[in-house]
Amino acid sequence: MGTKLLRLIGALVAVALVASACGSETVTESAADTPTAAVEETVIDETVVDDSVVDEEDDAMDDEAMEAMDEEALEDEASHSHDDASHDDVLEVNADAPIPGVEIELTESDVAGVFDLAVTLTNFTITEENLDGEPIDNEGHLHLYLDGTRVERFFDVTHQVAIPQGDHLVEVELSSNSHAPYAVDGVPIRAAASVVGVGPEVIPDVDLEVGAVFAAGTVTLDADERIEASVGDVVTLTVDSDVAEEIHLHGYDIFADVAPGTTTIMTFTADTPGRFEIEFEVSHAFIAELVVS
Amino acid sequence: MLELLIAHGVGSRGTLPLPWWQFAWAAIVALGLSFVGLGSFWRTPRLTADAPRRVVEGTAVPLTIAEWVLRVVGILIYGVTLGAGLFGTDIGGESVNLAPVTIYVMVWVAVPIFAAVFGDFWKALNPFETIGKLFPEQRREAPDHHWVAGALLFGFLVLELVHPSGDSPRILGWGMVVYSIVMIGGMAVYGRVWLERADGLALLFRTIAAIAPFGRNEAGNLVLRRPMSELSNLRVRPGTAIAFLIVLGGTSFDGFSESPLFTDIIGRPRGWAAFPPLFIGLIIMIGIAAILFWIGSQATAKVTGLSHVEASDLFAPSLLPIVWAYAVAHYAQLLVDQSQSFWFRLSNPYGAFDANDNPTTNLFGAADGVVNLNVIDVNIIAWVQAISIVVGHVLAVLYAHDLAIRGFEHRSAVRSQQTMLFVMVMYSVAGLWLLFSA
Repeated sequence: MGTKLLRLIGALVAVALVASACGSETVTESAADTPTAAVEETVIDETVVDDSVVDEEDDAMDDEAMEAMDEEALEDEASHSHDDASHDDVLEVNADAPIPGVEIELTESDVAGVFDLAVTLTNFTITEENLDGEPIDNEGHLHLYLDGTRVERFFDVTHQVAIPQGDHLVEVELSSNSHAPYAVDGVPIRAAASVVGVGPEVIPDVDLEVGAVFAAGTVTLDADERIEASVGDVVTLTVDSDVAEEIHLHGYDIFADVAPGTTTIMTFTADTPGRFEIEFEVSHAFIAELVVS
Repeated sequence: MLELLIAHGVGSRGTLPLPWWQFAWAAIVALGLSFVGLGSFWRTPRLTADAPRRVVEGTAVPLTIAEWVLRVVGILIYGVTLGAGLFGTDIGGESVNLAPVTIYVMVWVAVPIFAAVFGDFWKALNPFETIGKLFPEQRREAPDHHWVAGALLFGFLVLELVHPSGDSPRILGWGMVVYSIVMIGGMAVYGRVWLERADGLALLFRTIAAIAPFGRNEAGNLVLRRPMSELSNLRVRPGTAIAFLIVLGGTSFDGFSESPLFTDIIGRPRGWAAFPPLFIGLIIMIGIAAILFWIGSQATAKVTGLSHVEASDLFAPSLLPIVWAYAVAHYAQLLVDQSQSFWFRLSNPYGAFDANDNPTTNLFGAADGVVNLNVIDVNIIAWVQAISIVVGHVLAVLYAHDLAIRGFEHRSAVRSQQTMLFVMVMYSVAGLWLLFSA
């Protein structure tokens, strides 16, 4: 009897261990999923397409096709806004304040797959010091969307955006200090531009903004500390640093210099599975871990 | 240390977590085999020291030649590694200097993993064994314990897993100096017997090698034996069990310190700020391994009437298959990746480069080699990891069971090892869990 009881207890404990370990995996996964939640409700304020860029990049696609695609995108976006009638998380522009506006223009940069984004603002001032604070009229920062998914926030009117190969929609939104987008009649104020990327063939499905703040030895991540990618994914790391440093992705041994006030973009194909550390090379400060499986 | 996350001194890639279904598979097989198989089918001891073995006559000469080749290789690598550590470019990690790769990959990982299959080839490679030829067998009575060996293993683990610059060639070089002084100084005082007592690495490796089906007899001939039967021939001394538990706890800690759970607890301190939490973590992990083992051996003592110390000594060797399994599970990927680095670094061991960044020496023409991270598919590695834990677990349980039925009639033997079996299940499931979550 005694032996059977012991065996039973042993088996139960082991099963409990298995179960608890399985539980912890579930938690990890759901935590990793949250940052990629896309903001779907969007209405386009104005569209600026740089035709010359399009012509240069893709002769096969004429202007009509571009326009058709634009309209498609517009319809697509509009239908999203119908789906979701509530606009609880937008901030209505104060009736007394002038209505802010935004226009954007994309041109190909010197780096393959990377575009320069020029933002023209009216009645809007970008401030960084009141970030996370109370909204102040006509003040805030910018949100960048790629194909309807928010990819980063930024604070300058000239910015760099990595665009994967193919047709994509870039949007910029005016955000208040509290991160709620400014809106008129419930419609967020946005500018959109279609663009044809000439980047690597595989569409990136991981986008990460890393180290938006790096000062006094601390790193603040917009993304999860653990970036999960599948083998074959093109991973784009967008790094804003306020110090001059070098970023090192171990294993792949990709290095990139970062400097204050500039945005550094690292694009690579995740072709080797494993866990790899991304760190600031000089200070050895940990940035994130890339998990390729 | 270059990397906090990848705490084993060298290596640029961490092992992927095991998929949960693979974890479950391995755990269920391990449990099933241990609970169902042993009690019913294994009724007489088969792994005793006098288990049948077969001597292959005529192998003494080629094996002796091979032994001396290994001795020369061992001395050469020891010398070059010591030189690289003390005088080479002091940049940590695996990509410049030979010393970190030799110590953390070839000695610490490759030797035990292969010793369990091929036997005690470390006895030939071990430079202190060869240097020991200069000393008489015994000068005076050497202390009859393994505390020094255990302390050296603990020091090694602190350097590997805790010290902020544990992969620095200079620190490793001085570490080698300390280890060498203890070995050679001890031999000068006590004679060659000192190595058997104090050489912690050799103690670990020869015990793991006792799992292997290959050995040599006194005439130097090859002996084929039942796997693990040699474990019964090993002399257990005071401190032996602790030395094994230190290694078991250390390897578990290496896995645990990479897990998100650990980062949640201690954050990501850098440099010396990381020393206290890592040191405490290492101690706690060794403590957990030791407490579990203590519970198991005490329960055995109670049933069998052995003293507490006798019971722990009796079962100490059964820890070794688990130690081996942890090593394979944790370091298989590192071994595949970084044994390549060892070959590259051998060409330019001191890691010296001229103004144009070209290696100043290129002995084997491989100094510029770059590790191919895709030599073996990660899925195969994952299977090797999961299977090694199961195999290690089953071997440990088999051996413990075999020990238990030697002195007692079958039923009380089975009863005597219930708790020990439970402890080993804990070790194995914990090992899998570390792989799974890390």
